[in-house]
Amino acid sequence: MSLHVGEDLLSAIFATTLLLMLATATINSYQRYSETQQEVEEFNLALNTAETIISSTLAASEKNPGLIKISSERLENFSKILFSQGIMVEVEIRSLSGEVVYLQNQSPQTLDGNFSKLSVNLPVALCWDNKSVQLCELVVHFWRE
Amino acid sequence: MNERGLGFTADILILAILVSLSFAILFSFNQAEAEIIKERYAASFARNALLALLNCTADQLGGFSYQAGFRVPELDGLIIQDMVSKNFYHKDIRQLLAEDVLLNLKLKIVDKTIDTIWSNEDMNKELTALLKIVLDELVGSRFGYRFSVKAIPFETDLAKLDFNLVIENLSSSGVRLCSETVLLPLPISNDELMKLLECRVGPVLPLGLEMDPTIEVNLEFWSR
Repeated sequence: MSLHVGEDLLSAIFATTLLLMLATATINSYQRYSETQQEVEEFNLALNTAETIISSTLAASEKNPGLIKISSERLENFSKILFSQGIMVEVEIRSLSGEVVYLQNQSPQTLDGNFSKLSVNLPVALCWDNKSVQLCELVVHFWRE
Repeated sequence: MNERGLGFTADILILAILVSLSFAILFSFNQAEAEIIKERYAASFARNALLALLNCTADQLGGFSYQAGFRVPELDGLIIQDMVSKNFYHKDIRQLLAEDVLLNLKLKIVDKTIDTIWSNEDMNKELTALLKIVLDELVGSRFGYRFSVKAIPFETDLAKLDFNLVIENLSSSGVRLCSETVLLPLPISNDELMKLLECRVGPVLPLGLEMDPTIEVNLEFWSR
């Protein structure tokens, strides 16, 4: 086997450059793929959390799906369960005009580590004590370590 | 470059193309998943928007009032306006829609609309305007929408009783993302409805006719 300097060496350099370019493109594509996968997974989780809050945690009655009643205690208990799984939520209820009607704050500003934040908005009917029902938007801010 | 070098480079090129193709396919699946999640969010938003809207009381949306009209069959369908306007601040949208359907059912006999059984077009107009404002505010900035309310208590070859209301805010290039439906009961019994119809049009309906006393409330989301 003999090495033809200037011929085989040139093709080896060409092939190595191609391989390097391919490897870079592949790694880049895989990173984008992983990021999108993670975003999709986190969004799914955030949406499930918001739906659980509406249909179970704050549900006013089983007869009227979509109707909620504010209960700080039930929200705190639910937040504790999520916290044990490395998830933090901040629940906010806003009127259609954007006024904050209720806020349960549990942002991880004081905690160490990297948290990715995501928000999900869903419409809800908020039941007041005087039986009046207000159309609002439930905003769930979601952090996951 | 000799023949071996050329062959080696060609192999590498083919390998590169194959690997790139497989990643392109993988990435397109990823894009499809992102589309699915967008549609899932739209469906969840539509379902919650529909349920929340139906539960909401009119007072929180500004409310409305109207003057009711009563059709008098004995006086050739003359409409008598009620002097006192009716306020709907305490009722929820579910109740208002059910009343609107009941009070604005249109009777058609052999493709010819006779008239509404009662005459409460004003209520229909007021409620439609109220819902349009609320839906524009709640949904309009995110999605295009079509909100429809439909009821067909009965339909035969000769006669049909129906109600149809459509409120929409769509862009011309929009694509339908999702559709959510809630069924509500029509607040009248079969016997009451049958008696009312016989009173208006005589015994045109076959005996033992099965009624469908449901109201179909549908909310579709379209892309902007």
